Amino acid sequence: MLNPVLRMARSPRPIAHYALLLFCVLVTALGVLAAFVFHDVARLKEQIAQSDERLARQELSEMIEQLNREAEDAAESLMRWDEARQQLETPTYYAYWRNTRALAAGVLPDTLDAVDLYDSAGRKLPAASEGEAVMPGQIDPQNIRPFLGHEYGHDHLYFFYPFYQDAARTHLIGYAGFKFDLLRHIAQLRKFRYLDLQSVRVGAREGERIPLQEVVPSLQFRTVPNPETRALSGLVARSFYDIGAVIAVISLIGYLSLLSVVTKPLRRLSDHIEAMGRGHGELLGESYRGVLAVAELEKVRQSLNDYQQQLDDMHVSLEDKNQELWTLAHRDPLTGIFNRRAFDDDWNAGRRAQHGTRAEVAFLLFDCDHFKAINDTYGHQAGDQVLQGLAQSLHSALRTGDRLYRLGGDEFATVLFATDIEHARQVAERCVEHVLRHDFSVYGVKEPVRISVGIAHLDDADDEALKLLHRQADLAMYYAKRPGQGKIAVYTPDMGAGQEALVSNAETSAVYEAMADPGRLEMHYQPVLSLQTSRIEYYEALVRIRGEHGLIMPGSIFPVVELRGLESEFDLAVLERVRRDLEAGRIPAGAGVSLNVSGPGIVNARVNDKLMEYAPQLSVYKLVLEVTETSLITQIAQASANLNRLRKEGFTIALDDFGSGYSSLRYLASMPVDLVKFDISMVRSLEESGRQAVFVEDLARMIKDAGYRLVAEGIESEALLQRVTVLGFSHAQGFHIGRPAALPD
Amino acid sequence: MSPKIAIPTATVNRILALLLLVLPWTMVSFTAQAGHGGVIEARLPSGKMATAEFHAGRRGQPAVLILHGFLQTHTFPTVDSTKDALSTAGYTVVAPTLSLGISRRNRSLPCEALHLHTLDEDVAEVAFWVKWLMRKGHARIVLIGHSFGNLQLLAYMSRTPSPTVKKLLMISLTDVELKQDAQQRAQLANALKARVARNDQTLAEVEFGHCRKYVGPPAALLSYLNLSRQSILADLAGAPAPALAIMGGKDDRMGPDWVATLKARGIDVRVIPGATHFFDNQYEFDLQEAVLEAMAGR
Repeated sequence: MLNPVLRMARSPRPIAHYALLLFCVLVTALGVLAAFVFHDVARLKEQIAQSDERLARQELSEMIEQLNREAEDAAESLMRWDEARQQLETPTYYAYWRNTRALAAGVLPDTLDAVDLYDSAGRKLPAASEGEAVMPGQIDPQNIRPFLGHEYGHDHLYFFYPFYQDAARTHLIGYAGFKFDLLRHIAQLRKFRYLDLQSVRVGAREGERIPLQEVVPSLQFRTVPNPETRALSGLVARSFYDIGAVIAVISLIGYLSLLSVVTKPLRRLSDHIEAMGRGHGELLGESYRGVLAVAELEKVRQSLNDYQQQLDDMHVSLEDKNQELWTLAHRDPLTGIFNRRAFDDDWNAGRRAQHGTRAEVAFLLFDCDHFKAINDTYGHQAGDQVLQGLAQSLHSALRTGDRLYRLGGDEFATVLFATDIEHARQVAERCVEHVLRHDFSVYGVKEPVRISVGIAHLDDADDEALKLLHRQADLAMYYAKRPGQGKIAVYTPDMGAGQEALVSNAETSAVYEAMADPGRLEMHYQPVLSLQTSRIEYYEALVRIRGEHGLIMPGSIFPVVELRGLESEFDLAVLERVRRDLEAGRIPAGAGVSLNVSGPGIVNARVNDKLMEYAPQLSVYKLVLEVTETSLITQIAQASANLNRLRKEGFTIALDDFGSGYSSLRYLASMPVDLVKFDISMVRSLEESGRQAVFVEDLARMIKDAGYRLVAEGIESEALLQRVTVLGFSHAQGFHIGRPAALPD
Repeated sequence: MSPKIAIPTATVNRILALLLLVLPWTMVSFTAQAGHGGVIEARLPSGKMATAEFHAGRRGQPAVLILHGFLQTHTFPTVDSTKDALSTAGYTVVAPTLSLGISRRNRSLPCEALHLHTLDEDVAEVAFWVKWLMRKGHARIVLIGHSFGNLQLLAYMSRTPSPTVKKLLMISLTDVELKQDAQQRAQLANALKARVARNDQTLAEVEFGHCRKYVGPPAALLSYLNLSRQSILADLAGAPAPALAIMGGKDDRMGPDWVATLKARGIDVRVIPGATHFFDNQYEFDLQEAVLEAMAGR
């Protein structure tokens, strides 16, 4: 773990900090240099001070020596002075002479504080008054060495000399004594260079006498400030102040220049680069265009501008590419509408936008009915055109701003936020109508193209509920595709129970297991009554699968089969299971069996081969093949051929669920069909009074007149049975006649 | 080892006593001999040491004693140049410096100094030096004075002069009443006398002669106040030897009628025109010529 300080030290710093650091280093270096110089100067000053003190002491010594000489000169002068000799010879008026003449006659130096004469025995000549300038009254002729005496707060130097009458100094007549006020004398000299006159003090006690040779060591004094030292110190200090001022000015100018020439442009360049970084792909429109003073920065600026220009160009190119990629990624190349990726993005964005809130939303899922059949019949090119037509129709039916997605194949979707169910249903109906109005014949498709719409709606959707919306719309859409439904289905919770089988793993597994082992299929046979003979003419084989939790009914089986494209395989399993029943003799002899074959199974070779395996049974049983009109639409030519061949073999061909689908009479006429099974919805309409019943009656009559035999499904009452009988139906089927049931083993 | 010689104690004592008796004379004689041709010293009767300049001249010539002015010494220029001229001319010359009470006095004594000396002491010293010359074998002595020294020589001449003194030459004979008149001098003398009478020995500070401040004991000062114009003229008149006054024509230390007064009293006066009291400058030679002429009796 790095030390925080070290981390901080390693973290980048503004250049101003480095400039400041450089300034600090300069100041520190100057300070250190100043410290060294001042230290040297101080040492020099100390040496000079010591030298000055030595010289001052020497001056003092010289001064004392001079005083000594002056005293000696005074003594010489005194001895040559007639008046002094007069006093030693005739001291009657000595006081007058000493007080009036001695120091005023100009013979003795005026620096003398006092003068006195002593007789040859060392006694001072008598004088009336003494005062402070008193001299010792008695001196020792054997010891007349000069000394310093501290008296009355004053320091005086005393000198004594023998006084001779003659020049040959043979006739001693007395002694002369002089007294100098030391400090006053020093002050009067005014010729000291090193000695501070005012500072001289004598370290002596009152009354103490210090021999002359010891006077200088006892003096306390200070030296006068050395002018050269002061000048040198002043010069050094001034020089450093000047240098400091120059450095400060230069540093300030440098700092400002750095700010102006380097820092400011760098900051602008840095801000510009940071702005580029914050742009998240969007480049700034301008860069630092001014010419910079520093060549390196100017090169950086130019490089940055060139780089930005390149980025601009690249960005424009990338924008185009991104737009193209986005379009490719989010647009369906066939129809031009949004694709599954766009749907996922928008759906997630919508969910994020609704996150934490509750919203009303409708999910509309569109699916083209029988598109696979159309695609197989008219080819992929026509199928693609149909999809384009569907997209165009649906898009025109949606509101401006509503997005239409192609989720895959023939499945389209739109999501309507803040939309109630009624409005959603209106939108769905408008879509159905727009599709119906679209002229698909221009693509060569003769059959009408329709769509089924599954709607899932939530008026107070939370995030969890939104996750289920697509699935619910899917369930509703499959529900809408169921025969007899209105092409538009709104999801309801109970719708989920049946449709769950579509994706139930249990049912799927059961279907696959049954296909692998047809013995797992359990065939229930529902009797079909011949109205002409009032006998059960044959049984419709209805498939069930014995599951772990009971029988799995066709309503749960066929969605799985259709969803996974297992029609032919499942047909083979059912045919095998029924064949076994026939072979086992479980079908009463003379009766017949009606077999449901899927559209894909009709055109499947293996299924046809399997049916051909029934040929031996035709001599014993009546075998009816029930095909739906939807199955006939796809590959109608192949289907017709196969049915014709089977018909020739002895199979009876029945068109199942007539009236639930297209119910195109053109198809009916072109198909090799013997029986037409009216869908239960049409049969039940006969129980009602109205236009539909009339229409069904007329339709039945017309078909019968065309030579077809009619089978009525869903006969659950005697009245209905009578009605269909009257209408000329040849066969009837329903609970009233007999429920589907397993045959006994 | 050398043999010891025994000397009797009485004999030794006699020898010492003899030596003590002859010592003073020996000293003076020796001193005078030592001063031959230079400064000599002599112990005065007062015990003080006196100095003089002595130059021995040719035999047969009169000896000259030349005395300086008031408070001066023998080195005073007027005296010194005259002495040199006389010596050069072959005269034996002694130029004493009056001690004025100070041994070996060698500088002029300022007016403000203590003046313990008296006129009597001055006269005694003149007598001492006359005798000194006499002891040197000089039988003819000429006294030459300058300024106030003339008065001291006159005082000597008026008392007990030596018969060897043959002539008196007075250069710039001064008039004591020039600065203070007789009345003033009389008042001062009276005051001093009163102090002396009451034994008041405190120093007197007075204006005396050319001294604005003259300090001395009353008695000492009073001795000089005994001199007056009249006493001078009287002493001149009663002098035992011929006197000649050599005066400067521009001597301002005497009254305008002083020369006339002298002449009126029969004093032989020779005036050198233009000369001052001190005969300085070119008048120095005029003085010398006049002195030498007077010495030659011309």
